[in-house]
Amino acid sequence: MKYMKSYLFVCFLFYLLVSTVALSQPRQFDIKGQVTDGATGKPLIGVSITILQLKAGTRTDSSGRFRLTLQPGQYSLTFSMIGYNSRSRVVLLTTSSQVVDLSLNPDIRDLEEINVTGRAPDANVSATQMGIVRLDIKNLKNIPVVFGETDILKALLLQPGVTTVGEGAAGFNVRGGRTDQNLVLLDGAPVFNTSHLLGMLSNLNADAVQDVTLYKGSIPASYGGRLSSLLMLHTKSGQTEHLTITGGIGLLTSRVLAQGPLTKNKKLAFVAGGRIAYPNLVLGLFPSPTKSNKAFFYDLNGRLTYRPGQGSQLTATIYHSYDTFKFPQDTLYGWQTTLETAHYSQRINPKLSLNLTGTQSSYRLFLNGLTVGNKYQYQSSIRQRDARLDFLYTPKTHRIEWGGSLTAYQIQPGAIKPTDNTNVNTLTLPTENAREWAAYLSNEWTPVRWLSIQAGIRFVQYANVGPGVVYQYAEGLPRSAETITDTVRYTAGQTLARYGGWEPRLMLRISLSARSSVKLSYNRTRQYLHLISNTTAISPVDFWKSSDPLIPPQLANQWSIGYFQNFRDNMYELAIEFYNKQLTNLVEYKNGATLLLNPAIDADLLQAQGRAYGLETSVQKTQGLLTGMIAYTYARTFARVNSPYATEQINRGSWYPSTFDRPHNLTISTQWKWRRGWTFGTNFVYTTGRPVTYPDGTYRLNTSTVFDYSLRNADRIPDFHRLDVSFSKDGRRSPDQRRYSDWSLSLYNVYARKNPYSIYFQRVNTTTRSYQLSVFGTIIPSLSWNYTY
Amino acid sequence: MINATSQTMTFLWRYGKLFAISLLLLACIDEVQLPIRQAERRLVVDGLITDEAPPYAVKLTYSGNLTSQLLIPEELTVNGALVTISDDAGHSVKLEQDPIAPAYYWMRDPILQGKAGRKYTLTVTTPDGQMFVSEPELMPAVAPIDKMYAEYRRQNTPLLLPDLYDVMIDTKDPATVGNYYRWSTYGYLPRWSGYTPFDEIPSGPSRPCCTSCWVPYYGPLTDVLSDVLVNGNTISRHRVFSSPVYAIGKQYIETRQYSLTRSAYQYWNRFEEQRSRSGSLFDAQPASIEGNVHLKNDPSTLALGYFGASSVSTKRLVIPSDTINAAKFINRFGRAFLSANQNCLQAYPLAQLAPPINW
Repeated sequence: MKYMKSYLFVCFLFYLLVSTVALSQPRQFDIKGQVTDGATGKPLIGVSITILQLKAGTRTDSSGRFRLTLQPGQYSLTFSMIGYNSRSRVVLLTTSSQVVDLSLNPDIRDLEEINVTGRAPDANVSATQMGIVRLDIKNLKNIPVVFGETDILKALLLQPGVTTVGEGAAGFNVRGGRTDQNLVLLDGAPVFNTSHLLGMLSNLNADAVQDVTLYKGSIPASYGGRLSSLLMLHTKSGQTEHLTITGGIGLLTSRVLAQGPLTKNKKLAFVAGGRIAYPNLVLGLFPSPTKSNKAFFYDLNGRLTYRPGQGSQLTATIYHSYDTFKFPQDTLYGWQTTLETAHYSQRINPKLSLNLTGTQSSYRLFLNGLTVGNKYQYQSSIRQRDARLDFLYTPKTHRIEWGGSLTAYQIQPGAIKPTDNTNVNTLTLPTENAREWAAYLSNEWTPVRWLSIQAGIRFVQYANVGPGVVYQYAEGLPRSAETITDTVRYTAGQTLARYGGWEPRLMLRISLSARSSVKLSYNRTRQYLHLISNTTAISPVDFWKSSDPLIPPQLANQWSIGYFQNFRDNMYELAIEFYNKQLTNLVEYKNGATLLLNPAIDADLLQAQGRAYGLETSVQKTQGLLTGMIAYTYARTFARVNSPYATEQINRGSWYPSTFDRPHNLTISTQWKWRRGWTFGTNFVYTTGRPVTYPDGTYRLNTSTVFDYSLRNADRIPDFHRLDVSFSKDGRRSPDQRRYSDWSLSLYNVYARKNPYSIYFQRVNTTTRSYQLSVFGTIIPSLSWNYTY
Repeated sequence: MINATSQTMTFLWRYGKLFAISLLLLACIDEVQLPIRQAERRLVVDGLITDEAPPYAVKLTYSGNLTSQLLIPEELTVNGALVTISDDAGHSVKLEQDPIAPAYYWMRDPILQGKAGRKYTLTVTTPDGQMFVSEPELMPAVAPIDKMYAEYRRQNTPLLLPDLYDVMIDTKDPATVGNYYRWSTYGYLPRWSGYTPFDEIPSGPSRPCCTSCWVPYYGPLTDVLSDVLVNGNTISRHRVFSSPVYAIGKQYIETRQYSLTRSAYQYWNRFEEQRSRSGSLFDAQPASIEGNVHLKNDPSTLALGYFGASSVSTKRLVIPSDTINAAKFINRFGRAFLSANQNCLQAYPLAQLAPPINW
């Protein structure tokens, strides 16, 4: 109706114009031509052409043609149509008619991207689950990033409830949990180390990934093994119409990804891609000694998908990531991850399907001493193999999932061997073996429209099996190497320790209206693998340890409640969630604990309790040219280490804030789509500084003046805030354009704030001075370029 | 029992620091003003008994705000404490407080000269009546230093730093596991100045060169090692001291090799770790470094510092310095290390005019 009206109005105006002009000025000429689609070349029907000076115009006909009859003069014509970028043209009409043929390019801003996750527009309100983050992979490149490297984990840090101990530190903390409490599954296989370049980047290649889902609370009953979160990533399926190759060049890495069908019937499709880095270029810009350090990394993703017939699919994926970091003539650090998965899914009937998955995940850390006379190789490794079978049955109003998994762990906690004539002896710690089986049943039921329940139960049995050595410690004394009373040796297959139990998962959604709901969730999780690390951030020498007779599994219980509302036809999503989490048997370390190559490491570990709670609020705008999110979180997390022995207490056994306790978090992230494929992205991040241990006295010993740090985490480093902007250009003129390039210019830390990363103290002559270290203490511009072929 | 703190660990700690530097490509460091929190003062015990002839010193201070480089302020000195050392053979000796440096308490009785295999206990009753005791500390035996030698190392830096003699030792680790070492080294090194104390220093242009004197220099005191990775082997080329070459002349070096208990080794390891903190996220969580001394009535109240018992083996070395070309040396360094307008004793505290004898 609206168009009709304006059309009539324009026609009327034009009629008036033409008639008046015709009366007074008999000499008239035509401006005519054809308007076509810039992408397809087809004529465009109904393009409106307006003449600015006369406030009049016309429309193209069914063949895309138009004609305007005007007296001589200079005219500015604007061609516009919904879904296309407008164009203007100046035409000088003097002695003859003019022909104006032009094409309009589709406005790709308005294109609805295909929603790969199948998420309903009102999922925020209507889904049973809560505490879920789904990253829009297509939008990632519009988020400002450091060094121009699109990074999935750094993008997750903008979400409520996800924090880090420091800028550029590896890993992430979910709702007050530690970094090793996140189960990161790439195509179903666990990733034990997610960092490249000591944590500056993540090793998950955003180009190769199709979807990213983070469960902060309601972890599905089908998964377990980590306390705090589940991060699921899937590589692209490769099921495109034709072969597509995407390549890109950035300051640190270059990347390429190819995907497409391998056979004519498109039953077999592939994805292959990787990134290779040349950080030495950037390192070389710095003065010595930084300059002489060398780093290198790469990662590779591969996937084959075969669809033999209706309802069945066979998938195999492989992933490999490799890192080295070398100090000249000194030490070479390296770590590598290899994942292999095979997956078969079959739809048995329209309501029942099964999934069969086998995965293997290997992680290895190595460290080579390169000093003359002290050459050695140190390494530690972990390998996990899983087999799982899952069923999904979806009768009316129910969604029933059940299945089970078998897991085998093999851990080499550390081994050192000399590599030339050195006085280092060979030492290999015994390999740890563990088995785990789990079964689960989960039902999502919507009995009435206003209520849905997802009730799940998971049962796990874990066993640490021989061969192995268990030390017995004297009763009533703190554990130490001196209090070992006996050494019990177990032969292959014997069980050293057995743990396990029920893990209930419950979610409830009560709709208050079509646009608002209240949700509840309860979760219990257990963790049998522990990352042994006494540093604030994950460091490359950290290693994994399985639960044994003296290290029970970590256990967490989490409750959460939330209110969800959508506004303006699901354009705005409001979410308010409160959670409360109790954790037990966390691994802590004695003061001065020896972690590396310690066969009696039990004696140096302590058990801690944890508690975390928080309120997460966010408003998200998901549609329109301007999208984005404002999120504010208030969250606390505490730990306590209590023991009858003073040397085994931290802060005398009272609760203290954990290292990643950052109460106030504000993030504002926007993406504003401009014309011609430009997107303007901004991030603003504010968080409270993390707790830190300051000295509370000095004393002199052995001619040195030393600090006495008697209270852990009693102080805080100053608050963190940062603004980033990015300009990215999508070079496409239509959504199905096959060859195009895109550009991205990022300005990280626009106002160059020297955000504190850590604070440390030094004695300078007779005074104690404090220093603040900032990682990215300046504005960091970066440029990256991608090409799709 | 194997304790795996090792060279590897030391390496990791040392390079944790480097890590930080390298990681933080664009890092910058700024001084910030933060008040130092003052908690209640704690007793600091610094004592060592050896198998050498007495006297042995036990230094007692409090933690607090230290404002001078060397002196302990009076309020942080433990004045008038009752201090005794006893052994597991029933001997007990009360220590005498030093009248000039009241933080020091001396054990001079030869009856308590340390013997390897004995256990020693320190008892301190502070003036406010609190009684602290140490865990009985075993004095382990120590292997002799087999070889001591030095290698010249040229410093290739744009800064004008002196070249060094790396002083290294070899020692044979016993076949048993669980030997822990600490080394301390000092040397009398030559320095030059324009005048002797007997010269009259004229005003105006200074004298070209040179008069020598010998100045004591001390190496690190907390260089510790566990035999876990090298058990039963020769610990060879262990660098105990990097002796700066400020002037050409004989260098007189002495190294002392101490035995440690495992707990003392761990203590010094933590101490060193604390000293070398760089503030990076790869540092271990800082904590109070508590040793083996606690309040008698409440073992959860721990004192700072350590009461150690060590056997000592000593070795001396004279580095002749005769391979250095004097002309080239002077051409390269000029007057950089020369105190031209002063006499030797003014220029260098604790200097002596003659080299040490009987070295």
